[in-house]
Amino acid sequence: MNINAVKILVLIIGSILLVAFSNTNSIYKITEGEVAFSSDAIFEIISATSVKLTGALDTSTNKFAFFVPNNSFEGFNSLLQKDHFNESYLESEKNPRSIFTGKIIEKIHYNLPGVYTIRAKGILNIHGIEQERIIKCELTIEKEKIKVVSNFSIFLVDYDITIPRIVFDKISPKIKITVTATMKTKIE
Amino acid sequence: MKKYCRYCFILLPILLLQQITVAQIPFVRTIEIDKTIQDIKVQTIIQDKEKLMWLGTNKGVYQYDGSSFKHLSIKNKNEDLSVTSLFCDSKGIIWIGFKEGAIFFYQNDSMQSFDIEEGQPKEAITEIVEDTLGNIWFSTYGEGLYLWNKEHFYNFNKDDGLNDESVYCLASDNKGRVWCGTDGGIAVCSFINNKKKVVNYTTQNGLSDNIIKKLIWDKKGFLWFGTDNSGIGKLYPDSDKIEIPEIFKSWKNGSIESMLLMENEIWIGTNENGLIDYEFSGNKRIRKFFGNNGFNYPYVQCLFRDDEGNIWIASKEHFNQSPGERIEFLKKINGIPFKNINAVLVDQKKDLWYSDENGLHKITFLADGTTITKLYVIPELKSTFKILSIYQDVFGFIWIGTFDKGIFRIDNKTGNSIHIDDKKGLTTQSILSITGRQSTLWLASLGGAIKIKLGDDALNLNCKTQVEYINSTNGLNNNFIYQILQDRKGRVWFAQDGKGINMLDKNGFHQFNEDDDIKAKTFFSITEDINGGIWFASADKGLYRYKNEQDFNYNFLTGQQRVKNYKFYHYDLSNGLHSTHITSVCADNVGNIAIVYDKGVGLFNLDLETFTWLEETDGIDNVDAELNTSCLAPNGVIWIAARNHFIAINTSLGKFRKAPFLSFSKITAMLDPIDFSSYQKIQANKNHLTFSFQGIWFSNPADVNYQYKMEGLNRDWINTRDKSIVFPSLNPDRYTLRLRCSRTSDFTNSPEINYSFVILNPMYLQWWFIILIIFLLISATWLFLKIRDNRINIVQRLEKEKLASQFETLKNQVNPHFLFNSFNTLANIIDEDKTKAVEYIEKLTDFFRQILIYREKDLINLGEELQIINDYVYLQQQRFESAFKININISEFQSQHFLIPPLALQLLVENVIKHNSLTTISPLIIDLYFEKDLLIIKNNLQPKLNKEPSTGTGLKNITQRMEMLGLPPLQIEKTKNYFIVKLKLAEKNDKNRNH
Repeated sequence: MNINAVKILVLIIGSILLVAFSNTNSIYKITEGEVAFSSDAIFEIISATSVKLTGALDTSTNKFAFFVPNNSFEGFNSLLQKDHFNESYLESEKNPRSIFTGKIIEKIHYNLPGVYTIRAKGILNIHGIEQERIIKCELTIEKEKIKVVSNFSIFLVDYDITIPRIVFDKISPKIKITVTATMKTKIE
Repeated sequence: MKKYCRYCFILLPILLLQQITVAQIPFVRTIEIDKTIQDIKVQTIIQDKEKLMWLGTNKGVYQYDGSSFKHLSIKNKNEDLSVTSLFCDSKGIIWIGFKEGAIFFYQNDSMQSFDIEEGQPKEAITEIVEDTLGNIWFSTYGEGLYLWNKEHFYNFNKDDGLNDESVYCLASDNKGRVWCGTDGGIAVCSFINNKKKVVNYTTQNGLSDNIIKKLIWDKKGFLWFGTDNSGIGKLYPDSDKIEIPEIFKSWKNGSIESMLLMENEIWIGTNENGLIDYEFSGNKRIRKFFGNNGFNYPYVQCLFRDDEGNIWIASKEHFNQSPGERIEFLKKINGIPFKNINAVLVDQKKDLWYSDENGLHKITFLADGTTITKLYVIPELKSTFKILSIYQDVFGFIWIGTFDKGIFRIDNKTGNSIHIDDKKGLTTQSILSITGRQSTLWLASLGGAIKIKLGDDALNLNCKTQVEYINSTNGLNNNFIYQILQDRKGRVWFAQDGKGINMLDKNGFHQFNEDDDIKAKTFFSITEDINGGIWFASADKGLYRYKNEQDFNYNFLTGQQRVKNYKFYHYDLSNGLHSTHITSVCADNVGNIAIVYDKGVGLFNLDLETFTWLEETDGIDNVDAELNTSCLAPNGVIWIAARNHFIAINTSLGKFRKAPFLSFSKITAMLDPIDFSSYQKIQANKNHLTFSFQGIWFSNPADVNYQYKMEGLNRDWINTRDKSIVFPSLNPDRYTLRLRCSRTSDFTNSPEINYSFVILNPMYLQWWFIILIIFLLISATWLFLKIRDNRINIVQRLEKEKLASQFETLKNQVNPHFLFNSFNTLANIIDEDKTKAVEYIEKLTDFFRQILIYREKDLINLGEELQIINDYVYLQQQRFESAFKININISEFQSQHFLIPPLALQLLVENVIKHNSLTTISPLIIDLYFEKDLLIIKNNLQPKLNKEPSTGTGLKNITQRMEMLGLPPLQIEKTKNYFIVKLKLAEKNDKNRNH
C-alpha cells in the first residue's frame, strides 16, 4: 500500500473521528453495521458476514468513511475456509481492514425524512489495493438516524486477489457485497 | 489597316461606399417532424452507421430516413423524456442521454436502459463521446464528467481537479484525452491506466471567457471553442497557445449554442442572433444570416452536417435542412431586389460584375461581411442601352458587349474606358457574348464571329486591336452566333443559330449536323470541362457532348487507322435531363458542368457520369435566366444570374457521399424478423419473405429509385420505388436478393447490396424423412405378412384340432362299449316297455344326429350343447337309473349368451361316467352351474376300483381347442370329495371370437 495514501487515509479518518467526538450533530456514526459478501461459484456458494462495520458520515460536507476488520467475517462453510480467506486472499495480518472513504455525489437534505437513492464516490481499499468506485446506496433518513443499505459487487482481479487453479470453480471472480448500517448523531 | 480612334470616357462611380451587411445566404427548408406533437424542439442530431438521422428532442428520439420520422419514445409517467445528447459509438451503438440524467442505449433494434451498479447520473447529460481507448465519456450539467470503461463507471468532479461541475460539451482527441467546456474554462481529462488526470485552461491562460459552450476540432488538430459572450477562439493543444481572431474581440452576438466546422468556414449558432458564418481562411470575414430572406430564427440550438454535405439546423422553433455553402443565393442589395440581370462576371479579385437596365454594377465583398456596390454610368450611352456580355481579359481589363453600341474596354482601377466601334473596324454593334484565350478575344454577334487580337501593348487600356470577321462569307454557315469557345487545344467552336455547331481547327472548318446525329439546329452555349470534353447547350433538343476522344476506324484493306467523324453524345429527357431548353452551360475546375434551364440548375459530375438537379427542394424555383448568364469564379464557385437573383454553386467543397446509401432495415420470414447479418436457412413453411430497406439520400429523398433481382427467381432487374419487397411463397431453393438504388433512372455504378439465403425443402422432401418413410413402409408390410401368416397357421391348426376332436368324439360314440351298453340297455327296455324303447332309440338317433350337425362348428350355443347333454344323460340314465344324477342349473339367458366348443360338455360328462363308479347306494351326481362367468362341472369323487385305461386325449383336446379360440384353458380342481372342472366360455357379443 502506498504510504502517502495511508497517511491521507489516516488523516481523513482521524479528522472525521475527531469531529465525530466533538459533539457536533452533523456527524452520524454507525451504531449497528453489517457487511456480508457472497461468492456464487458453480460448485460452491460461500458467504460470510461481519457485524463489526464502523464508520461515520459528515452531513455538512457529505464526506464519509466506513471500515470493517477483515478477520471479523464469520459464517464460512468451514474453519479452513476462514483461514484461507484471512491468510491467502485478504492477507488480514498485512491488511487488517477494508475501507471505503469518499464523498456523496448528490446534495441531500438531511433534515428531510425520506428514502433517497444516492451515489457515494470514493476509494475502496480491499487487500491493500485502492480502487476508485461509485457505490449506489439507499438512505432512509429519519430523525437523527440514517439507515444505509447498499448492494454492489467487486471483481477479485481489481484487488489483486488471485484464485489458485484448484479452487477456480469454487470461488466466483465477482463477489457480491451487501452493506446495512444504522447511523445516529452523537446527541441522543 | 484599321484606324484606332481613341475614346476615353470617364465612368462615374455614383453609388458606392454604403456598407451593408448583406451577402449571399444559404437556402433553408423547414421540415415538419411530427404533426401530432406540439412544440418539438430538436436538441441534438447525429447520423448512425446506416446513415439514418437521429434527432434528440424534448419529446423523445426521432429517427429520420429522408421521408418519414419514426418516434422511439422513452416514457416516464406518460411523458416523453427530453433528450439532451446522442452519440453513435465505434461499434454502432447509439447512446442517448436525457435531461433527467438517465442514459439509454439502442442496439440491435431495441432500446435499453444503461443499468449499471453504480447508478445513473441525476443531472442532464450534455454530451457523449468516445475516446481513442474505447471509453465512453458523459458530461453532465452539475455532476461533472462520467466515464464508462466497459466495467465500471467513474466520475470526475471538483475533487478530481475540475474547475466547475457544469460541463457543456466534450471533444475527444487522438491521445485518449477528452476536452471539456465547463463554466470554469476548458478542462482536459484523461483516464489512462486507472489514473485520473485533469488540466484546466481558464481566462488566466488566455481564454476570452470562462464559460465554454462548444468545442470542435479542425482538420489541422486545433481546438475551436465557442464561449458564452466572447465569440469563438482557437487553442493549439501542443503549444497551449490560445488565439482569439481579431474579428471576435468585439463580439456582440450573444451566447454560442452550436458550432459547425466546414472546409473554410465555421458556422456559429447563437442564442439571439441566429446563424453566423465565420470564414477562417482567405478573407476571414463574418456573414450574418439572421434577419434575411426566410432565416429568422434567433436561437440556433444545434448544427450538424451529414455525410452528403447537407446541413441540419435546429432552431428553437424549427428543424431545417440546408444544402449549406454548396448553394447560396444573393437576392437583394441595399435591401432592393435585383431585377432583369443581363450579364454576370466574377473577376480575378472575386468582385461580382453584373448588368441590368441601369447599367454596369460591381459588388465587392469585404472581410467584416459588408459589401461595397458601385454603379458605372457611361454618359455616352443612353438609358435604353443593354449590356449583353461582360468579360475580363488576361490583363485584368473588363470588356462589355452591348446591344447596338459595340464593345468597351474598361480599366477596373481608374474607371477609364475605350470604346471599340465601327471606327476600329467593328461594324457589328450587337455583341451577344465575349470569350477569349490569352490575347485573343472572340465575340459572338448577329453578324458572325469576330476575332480580336490584342497588340503587344495590351497592358495599356488603349492598346492596338486587330479585328477579323469570320462569317458566312469565309467558312461559317450562318451569321447568327450565340457563343464561341476556344478550347485548350486551340480549336474554336461556334454555337450557331439554325445551323448547328461549327468548329475551326488547323484543318479548317468542320460543320456538325444530322450526319453526326445532331438533331438540334440552334445552340446557345458552349463550355469545356476539365477532361477537355466540350458541352453544347441547344435551344430545344437538350445537351450534346463531345468527349474529346479519338474515335478510330480500322481499315482492314489498307491496314490503316483513320479518324472517324467526331462522335457526339446526346442527353435529353430520356437519359437524365429535366428540360431540353438549356440557356447556358458552365464547367468548373473539379469536374462538374452546371446546366441552366428555366426552372432550375443541373450539375453533371464527370466522375459519376450522373446529373444532380437543384430545384425547388434546394431553393431554386424560378431561374428564367438570360442566355449565357453563368460564369466560373476564380475560387471555383459557379455563379449563375437568374433573372432576379444570383445563385452561387460551390462544387469544390469536401468529399461527400454522392450516391444514396443502401441498407436493409428489416427482413422477415412469415412476419418473424431474421438476422440478416448472416446466411440463413429458412424453413419451408416460413417462405413468406418481406425485405425492407432504405436508400438514404437526404439531398433529395424523392429521387431515389430501387432495382431488385432475386437470383433464382427473376431473370431481369425489376424497378420499384417502394421501400419493401414481398415474396409471398418462394419455392425451396437457394436465392440471393440483389438490390441497388440510384437517384436517377441510370443504375450503372450504383451501390448494390445483397442477401443470400436458402429456403429448405419441406420435411416430407428431406432425404432422411423419405428414408424413414420407406423403412416404415417395409416394416409395416413385413409385419402385416407375418401376422397374416400366423393367423393362417392358427386357422390351420384349429382345423386340424377340430378334425381330431371330431374324430375323438366319433370314436368315443361309436366306441363298441358305448354301443354295446346302449344296445344292452335297449334290449332290457324293449321287453319292459315298448314305447319307452322307441323313445330310447329316438334319443339315441337324436344324439348321433346332433354330433353330426355340430361337429363342423367352432362354437355353438350353450343351450344347444345342453340339448346334447340332455340326450346323452337320458341314454345313460336308462342304463344306470338312479345311480346317475345330473343337476343343470343354467338359466335361459346363460344358455343363449354363452358359446362353447361343440361336444366339450358331453366329453366332460362322459369322462366323469367313465372314471367313477356308479351305484344306487352312492349315485354319481354331476352339478352343472355358473360361478360368475365360469361354467362349473362338479361331481362327487368315487373312483372306480379297476381303472379303465385312459388315453387322456379328452381333456387335452378340449384345452387345445379352447386355446385356439382364445379362451383360457380349463381348470381342474380335485378335492377329497369332488372333482371340479371350470370352463371359461366365450360370450356372444364378443365378436372377435364369434367365428
